[in-house]
Amino acid sequence: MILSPTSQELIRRRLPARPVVTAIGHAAPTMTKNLIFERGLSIGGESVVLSLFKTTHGFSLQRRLVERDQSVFVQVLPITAMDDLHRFATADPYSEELAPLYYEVRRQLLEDGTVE
Amino acid sequence: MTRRQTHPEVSGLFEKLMAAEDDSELASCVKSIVTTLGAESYVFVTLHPGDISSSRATHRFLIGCRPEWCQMYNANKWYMTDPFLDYSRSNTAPVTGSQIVATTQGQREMLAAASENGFRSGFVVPVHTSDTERIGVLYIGSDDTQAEGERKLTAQRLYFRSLAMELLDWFGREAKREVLEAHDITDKDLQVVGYLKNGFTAEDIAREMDVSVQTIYGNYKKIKDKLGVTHISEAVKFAEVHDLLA
Repeated sequence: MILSPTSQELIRRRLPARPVVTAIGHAAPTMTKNLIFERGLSIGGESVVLSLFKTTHGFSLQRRLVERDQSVFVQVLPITAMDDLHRFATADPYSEELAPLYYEVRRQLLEDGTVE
Repeated sequence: MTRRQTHPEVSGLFEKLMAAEDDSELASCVKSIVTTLGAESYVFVTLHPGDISSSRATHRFLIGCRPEWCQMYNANKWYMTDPFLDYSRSNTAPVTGSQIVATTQGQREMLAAASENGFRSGFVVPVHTSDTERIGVLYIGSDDTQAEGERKLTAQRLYFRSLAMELLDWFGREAKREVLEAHDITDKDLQVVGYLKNGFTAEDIAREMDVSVQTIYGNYKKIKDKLGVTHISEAVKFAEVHDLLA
């Protein structure tokens, strides 16, 4: 950005530094991440949302837990095999409540057919 | 020498990681780097300790270990007592598992469980952003004995440290992108907010952008509507909180 002489003088008088502006297009590579399934449940004052994303390079499952104090814990599980999902779902402390949601995630993966 | 043998391959993987388009590709790169450097498991956690809001994660875990471990860690709320997280809040030097001593029964249970889940030996790398609001912690694990594993992992300290820094940068860019997309914030919006942050008046901004003052007030309104705020100074605060101007 080229500043006019008047503005440069103004900045010298008023400011310690020039503004920092970040162009969106340079902030990150173009993302190819599509949400293909998302469901959530409220359990005992907490809320859990499962989001399945399909990307150029595979799938990732995001488990988002919002606690009563509004703390948010996000786990990102890259899925390269069905066993990844099975083990993650089985070990989930809310596995019973979330079983229908994990079932749906599994169904989506099976339908896609690229994850074994 | 292990480092000499792995260097070219790891360099290539780092280049791929920095250009990763999504978290699946990122995770694949990280896994390759970690295994090439002699470890088996990793977890990368980003923290925003000062930001309690349902709109942004206070803890974000990228899982590159046994899925059971990450669920167990969260179910037991070990993030509240994890001695490595405590260490990472105020330190940047990497540490091995044996350098941190568990002081409570809960911490001892956590470390025992970690040992059984791919972190028999471990190396932990804290990394901070310049404003210290955002912290990353890279946990590297191996099933080697503690002495042997820590020796091998410590030899790769340079690479693990670089990896942690690149991951924190990557997630920072991703978080910023999500916020910009969610609120439909444009380059011009950021430019205006950037000027405001540095103390420019509407007249100054109009002069810099070669438009009328009325146009700038129109920009203010659009920005406020997008962010759902009533005063433009709140938009500046929003941009600062979400690192949009960094």
